[in-house]
Amino acid sequence: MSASPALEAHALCKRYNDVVIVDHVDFAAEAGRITVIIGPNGAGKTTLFNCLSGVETIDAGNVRHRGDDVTGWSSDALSRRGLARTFQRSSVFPTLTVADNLCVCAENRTRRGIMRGVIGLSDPASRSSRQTVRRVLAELGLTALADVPAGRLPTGTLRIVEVGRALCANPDTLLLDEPASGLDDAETEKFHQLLHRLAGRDLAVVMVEHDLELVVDTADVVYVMAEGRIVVSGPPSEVLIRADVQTRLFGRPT
Amino acid sequence: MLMLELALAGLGIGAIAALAGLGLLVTYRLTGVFNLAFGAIAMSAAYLQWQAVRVWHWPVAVAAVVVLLVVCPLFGVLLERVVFRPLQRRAAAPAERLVASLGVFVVLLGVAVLVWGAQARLDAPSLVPYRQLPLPGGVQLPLSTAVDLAVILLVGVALVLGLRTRLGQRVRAVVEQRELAELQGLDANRVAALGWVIGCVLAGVAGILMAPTLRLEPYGLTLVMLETMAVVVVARLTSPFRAILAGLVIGVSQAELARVHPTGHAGPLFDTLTSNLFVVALLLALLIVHRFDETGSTDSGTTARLTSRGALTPIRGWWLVPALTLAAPLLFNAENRRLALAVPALAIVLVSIVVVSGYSGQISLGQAGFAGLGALFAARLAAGTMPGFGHVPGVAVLALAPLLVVPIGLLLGWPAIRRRGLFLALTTFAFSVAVSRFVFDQPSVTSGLTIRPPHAFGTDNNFYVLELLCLAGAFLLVRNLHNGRVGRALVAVRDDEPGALASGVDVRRLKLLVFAASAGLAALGGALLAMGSRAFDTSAFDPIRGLIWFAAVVVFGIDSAPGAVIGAGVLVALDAGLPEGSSILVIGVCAFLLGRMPGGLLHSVHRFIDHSLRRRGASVRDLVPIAGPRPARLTSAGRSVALMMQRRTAAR
Repeated sequence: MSASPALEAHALCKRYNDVVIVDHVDFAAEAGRITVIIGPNGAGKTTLFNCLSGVETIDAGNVRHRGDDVTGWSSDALSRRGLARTFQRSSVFPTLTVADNLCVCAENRTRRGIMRGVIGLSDPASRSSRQTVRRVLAELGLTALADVPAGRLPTGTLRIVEVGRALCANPDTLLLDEPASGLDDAETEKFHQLLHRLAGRDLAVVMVEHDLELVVDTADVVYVMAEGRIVVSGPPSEVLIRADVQTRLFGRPT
Repeated sequence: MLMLELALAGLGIGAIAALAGLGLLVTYRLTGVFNLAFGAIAMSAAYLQWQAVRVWHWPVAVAAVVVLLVVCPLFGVLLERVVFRPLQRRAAAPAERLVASLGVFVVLLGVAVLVWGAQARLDAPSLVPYRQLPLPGGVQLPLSTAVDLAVILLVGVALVLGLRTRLGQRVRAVVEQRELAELQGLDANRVAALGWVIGCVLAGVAGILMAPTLRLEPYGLTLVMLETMAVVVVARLTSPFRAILAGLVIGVSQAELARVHPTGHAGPLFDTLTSNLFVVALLLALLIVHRFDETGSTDSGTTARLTSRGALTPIRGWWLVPALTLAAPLLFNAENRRLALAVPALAIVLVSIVVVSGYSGQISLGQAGFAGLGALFAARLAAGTMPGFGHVPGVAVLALAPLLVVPIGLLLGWPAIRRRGLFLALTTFAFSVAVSRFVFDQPSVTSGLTIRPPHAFGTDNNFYVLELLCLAGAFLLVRNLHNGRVGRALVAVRDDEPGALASGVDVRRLKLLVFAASAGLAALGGALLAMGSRAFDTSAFDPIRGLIWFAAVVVFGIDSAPGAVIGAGVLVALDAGLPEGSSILVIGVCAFLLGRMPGGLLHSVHRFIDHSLRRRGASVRDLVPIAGPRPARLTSAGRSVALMMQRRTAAR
């Protein structure tokens, strides 16, 4: 294994018409660490996420995943490669059960077997997919909800389901877009522990988060983003106490 | 001077096309609905005008005033009230509105066929007296063309200026963000009604001005109006002046090209191309234009929320209904069994629509084209006249013909699936029109074709059994697409496409796969349909027929394959027992009322049974609402809360 970071971006740019949303961003997320991107609304955090995960095309710059150039790859191809993500607005499948939600991700880790399904043969990987789903459900405490249609669950639970779905891709890099919004205190605490467990398993966890308490508790590295640029990055204890960062996040001190 | 005179003649056609396209565009901008019924409304107005002048002997001007200023506006209000407001109330997806407009289309078509018959009439009254206006240079411009040009200019300018006024702003607000507009205190219903009134009047104007130039005929006139969609596509649903220009340019080029007559083999093909230049333009425009400026924010061409999946507990043994529908003809007498031969074949065609639109959520309006190609290939393969193939025996034809259609499906689906759903709907329809004009209507391709059931299945009884076997095969394929890994992935794509992509589902490939499978199924159904009737009848695979089939599938439950079987049975039975047009009318009325029966006819019956016969009390599942957009009806307290929350989100 080379020492290259799990996910890395260099001079990433994204424009909508003439408006620059992401402006020459350099970014790296290491395996086994929790990297958090913070910044005011409209700073371009979600767009950066979309560029990293192939949801949006990139205007300039490149993205590397485990050292390989994946610039311009589509979101589904990246997911099969082990770069999974969640969305700011829930994207679970409301008419599928929780277990089936996870199963979709688990069984599409490879494209092989689709045609077998069409002509009615069983999917050779279906047993291992089922196992993955069971394991993730148990880990997230969702086993009791396995057969409930996802559309009937409250927002907080949906967040967890979505994280579970991403985990079923067996990812090495996990992008979470505001995963804690909509969680109550107890759920946030549990979520916090989950993040540490995942990082302990050598996953690179990347998060956009507004809950500063959670950021302080969990982050190994913080990137502060404003107006499409990375203003400063480093360990939270160094970054968050800087006066210019505080101004960016909370406005001018009075 | 010949060039100039031809150009002026072409200007007449172009002006009419521009007017129709402009009307469609204005309707879209004012209501947010891509009104597939536009052509049918125009056709109905033209027929009313004909009825008033030729039968009731009203003066032309009086008839026009009544039709355009009384009937059309009333119809617009009716449409908004009965069809589109209920859809709006339950925050229906734009695709549902597209389908509802298809329902309006089918109703009007059914009424027209029932009342005025399917035959063409040549004596449509002209609103403008026949006179030639002398122009400098010695050429003459027909007065009607001058009037058409004046009308389109007027409408174009009125649209551009009108949208800038206060009222125009309100209309735009309602079309783009209805809930927000209502929060601002706008009476969205009245604004929407205004949009429909204007849309219907424009359709009426187009119909009445157009009818004298063309033949007055329910299918024909409607189809011609639909072809002018080319103009709207070129305008990317936005620019009225681009629409006008496109209409005029295509019209003039058509007239100029008509002068050229290449000799040899290319001759007939060239003639067909020029006389169908609007269809060619539509196909080309759909390939070239990359993006529509659609109103609202959601994809107007997916059927995501038409589905009924997971909402109700299934009734045990309900599959007996379609099973009995299929078994009954075995007991019929010879004459009725001959009629019933169409049921399994049509069921396969309808199931092909269930697969592509119900399971995969893509609106395909072109299944008639695939079915017709399947029938054509089967006939030629059996006769040994298919280029590249020798004489293919009996049953093998039924396997080979669909396989030959699948690549065509891939070819068509490839460019369309990459874009938004409305594109696919229009592209598939354009394909169906093109196949009908360039293949089925070519005497060299279809004349003298006979087709009969494979020798071993020669009797009606045996052929019916063969059809049932094919249907069973189709159901197997459908089951594989509905269950297991493929089925789950398809539901995922329909529920949330970004989510499906993030889960590693290769959405594009999956959609293409389903599209191709659906094309193959439609071809199989088409081949059986032609074998059953022992003839290749081009009118059986008319593009309009494809629209009616689609509406039928929606009515009988878009994601229900057994529903498709029942639908096929009902369609064939109605056609056999009642006057021409009534089956269309029944389907149309049901589609018309989709707003009041979400999920289709069978689903509503199911829900009725569920509610009235439930013995063990209400199940909890039914009481918990499914997550999704709420209907936009708020009390005043609710409104202020919503406003507050909106401010807070904005401030965050």
